[in-house]
Amino acid sequence: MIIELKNANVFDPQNKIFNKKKNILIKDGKIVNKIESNEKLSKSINCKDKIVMPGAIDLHTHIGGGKVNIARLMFPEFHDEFLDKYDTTSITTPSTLKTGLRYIEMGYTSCFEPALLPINARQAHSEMADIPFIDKGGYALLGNDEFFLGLLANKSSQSAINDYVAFILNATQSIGIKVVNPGGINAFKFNQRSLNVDEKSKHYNVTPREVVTKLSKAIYDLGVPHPLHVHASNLGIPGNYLSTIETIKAANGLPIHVTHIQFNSYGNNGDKRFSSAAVEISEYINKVENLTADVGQIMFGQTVTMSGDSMAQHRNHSHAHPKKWMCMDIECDAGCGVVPFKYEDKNFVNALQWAIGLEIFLLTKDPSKIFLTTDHPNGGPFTSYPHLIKLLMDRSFRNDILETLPKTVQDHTILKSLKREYTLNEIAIMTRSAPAKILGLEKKGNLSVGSDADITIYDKNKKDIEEMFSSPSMVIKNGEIVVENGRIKKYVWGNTQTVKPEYDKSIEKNLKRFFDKYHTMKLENYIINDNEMEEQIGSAVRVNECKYGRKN
Amino acid sequence: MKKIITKEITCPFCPLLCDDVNITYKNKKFKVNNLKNKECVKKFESFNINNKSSLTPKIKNKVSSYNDAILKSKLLIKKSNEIGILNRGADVASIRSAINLCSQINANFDHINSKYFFDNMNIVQRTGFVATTLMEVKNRADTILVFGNNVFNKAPRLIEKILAPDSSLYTKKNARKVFLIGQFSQKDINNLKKNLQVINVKIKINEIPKFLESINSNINKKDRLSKILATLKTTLQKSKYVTAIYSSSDFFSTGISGDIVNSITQFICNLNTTIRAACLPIAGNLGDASNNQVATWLTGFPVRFKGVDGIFKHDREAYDVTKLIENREIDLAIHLNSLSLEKINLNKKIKNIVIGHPQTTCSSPPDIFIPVGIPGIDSDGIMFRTDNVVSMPLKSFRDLEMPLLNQVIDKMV
Repeated sequence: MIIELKNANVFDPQNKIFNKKKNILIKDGKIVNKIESNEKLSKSINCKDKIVMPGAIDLHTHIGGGKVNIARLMFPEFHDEFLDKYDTTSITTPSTLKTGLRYIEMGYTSCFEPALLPINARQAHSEMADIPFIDKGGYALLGNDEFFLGLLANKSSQSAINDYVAFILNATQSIGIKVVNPGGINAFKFNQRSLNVDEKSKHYNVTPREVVTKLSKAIYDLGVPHPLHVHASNLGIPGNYLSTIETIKAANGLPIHVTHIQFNSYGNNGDKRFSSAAVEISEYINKVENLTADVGQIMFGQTVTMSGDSMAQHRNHSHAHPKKWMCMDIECDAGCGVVPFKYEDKNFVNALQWAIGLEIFLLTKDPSKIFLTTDHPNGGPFTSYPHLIKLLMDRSFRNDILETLPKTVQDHTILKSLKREYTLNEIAIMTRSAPAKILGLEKKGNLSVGSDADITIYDKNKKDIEEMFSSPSMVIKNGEIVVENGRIKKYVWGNTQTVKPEYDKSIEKNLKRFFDKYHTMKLENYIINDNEMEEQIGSAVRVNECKYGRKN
Repeated sequence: MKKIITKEITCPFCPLLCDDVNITYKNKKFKVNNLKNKECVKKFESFNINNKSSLTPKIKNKVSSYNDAILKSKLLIKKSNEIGILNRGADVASIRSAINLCSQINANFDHINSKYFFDNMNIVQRTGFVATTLMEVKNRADTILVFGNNVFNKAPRLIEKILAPDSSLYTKKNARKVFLIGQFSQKDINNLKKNLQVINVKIKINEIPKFLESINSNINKKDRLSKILATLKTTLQKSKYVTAIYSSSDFFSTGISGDIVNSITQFICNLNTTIRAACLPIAGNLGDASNNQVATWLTGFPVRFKGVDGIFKHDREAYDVTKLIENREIDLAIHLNSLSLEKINLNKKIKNIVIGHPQTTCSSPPDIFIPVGIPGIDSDGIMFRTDNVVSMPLKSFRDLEMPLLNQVIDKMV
């Protein structure tokens, strides 16, 4: 099929194209610059009144794995019986099909599950394979597993750690590595209830700083494009911005991505002992070269928090709304906690959290360093992204909402004084080119010749920006028109994006010994190969390059 | 035929999904080589083909082709007013297919074990729950409370692999304390005593809530139970990681199974204010854990739902397919059985399609029987273990030239 998008108003930040009239040709799922003389166009679409961008990329959204399924099960009372088609899951924990539908209807074409437990990888991939339309991938969780902490405690070489990290990326078919509360989840299993950046865990005698240092170095050495994805220590605790900065410093200047940084940007000033540290954090993001972050904006309303941070989730379970929760210790590998939560606009802390997220967005100068997320569903559902975009692009809209919040909150935020309004260019950067770049997805997030034809077309005439981003007039996935006039036209299935860095296979001998003694499955069965991905799990693998190659 | 040895096969027939089963396969017969547990060996080997095996499809008990059996099934589906699909054991691929079929034909969908699942589901949906997994228990638990009477039959290698393993990261052999709370057989007690410190707390199953409640009250009496309570209290205070193991189906006959599960899970939640503790429910028999996981991610509900013109509706009572069959509220039952050896009781007053492995037996001949391969023997596949976290790859080693359950279901859509 050959499609032409004619006279499009193109936003393609990677190619430095901002609102420029262009024609785009699509053939066999790719963007091409010409077609042969004997080839005919299947369809020519007049895009005179359209805005054309690459398909959007969500680099942090909880869409697959055990915790997501626990949350689906936990809330029968929130399931929409009649409002939504196909299934009866709630908006915060949609089924796999509904996840795909809602994302593609908003023009998102690639999404990444940030907490893929290695031991749960088979489930997470199986679940994500059932999400239609989008490409997906996962970040394998490390930094709380016994094998890794054993390597650290035994002062193993960086090279051995690199081999282990590379093994995990290969074995779990992941595209990146995430660490959640470095060392803290493991410490919680030994009954430690908190672990600061330079505090040693009781059993392994290892600090979170060491965990971050070693893992970020491994990623760098292996040439994995996505920096270490860090859920920092002390999540949600007033005053935690200091430990966030210390966590960033632990990377020793190597690339690091701090995720849902809003939850780690709290001061403890003022009469409520809870304050915004967005200025300090944003200044730090602006200053440090290799640092990126996604925000994890909170949205008012009912949601459910799900996290690998069982230490924090257990601590917070008394705030559950409704009053139910679940925590789990998982296979000497990781943990998880699912706690429902309602963000109330009249609650001082919640309202200030809302303002802190927006402050970080608006104070971070470079839109390629900050990413648009709600940490779905922890801060709010991904379906609220168009509303969030409007908050960023429309100051008066933002301030009108701010006016409705408690006066005490308005006194504790500088939000009203921030005049910045994001431009369409900046939105395109933070939702397209920048996430593609830090994930190493060369064929995505741009409209270059040879790139995947994942394209979103918005109606320029829609006055309301939220409406425009909620319902693109057309979405093209792998060269096929899947959404037209806001309606699903065709079902297609995306791939699983991975990286496969090389490593010294001798690490598998040590791992096999460990598995045979302590695990409850064989190493051979832990590893997910490409054939299993395609035949059993149901998603073909696409391998992205680890460009820099092994350095250690 | 050349002798084939396949090592490290995953056994799909109990909730543990052990993947260390060494098989010799020769002349279409397989033999388990390495397991000490005779029950496991017997169960696995009973799926061998014998002269009673049904290797061809049958319509009204007469041999037919696969094509004819599938066409006839489609016709029955078309003619039926109300259809129930009852999963009696299937892998992930087949559950995906079955739910798709359910959606396409507006059928009721259920798993044969679903009634046992609701007590655990209620905990997740109504209170708090701290859970754990097999590897955590194997390596971390220093005190284990086992409740019920039948857990060790449901997971025959639980003692060998998890409670008294050869190696553990943090608990020394013989140092682990196990409290058996309920009515366990002497055989189980003896097995455990070989390697563990065992205290048998013999009480009626329905007394478990009262027993757990009394741990926190003052214990002054000098009777045996009070002494055990005092020992348990002291042990818990010194413990680093307590695990409660139970199977809610053990409590079912008491009529208060929900209260019992609630008392155990809340007891464990409370322990976590000072020490670490977690629950390990034993489930996953006949692929129920796989069923629940796949159904939940596809529909939002693990069991008992109905496809209604493109959406799924859930109701614990209305879509109980076992009851719908008993009460003849459906006119066609589709039984999916790729794992169970239990005889299927068919209601002869409705139409029955049985898609099952060759060893499947029924109380009477179904209208249509379609033999299919067994995941983990005849096909590769994926199944979920009892802890609902680990899903195991299944590997095939036999070739009966028989379609798989999911392939047959897909042809009915």
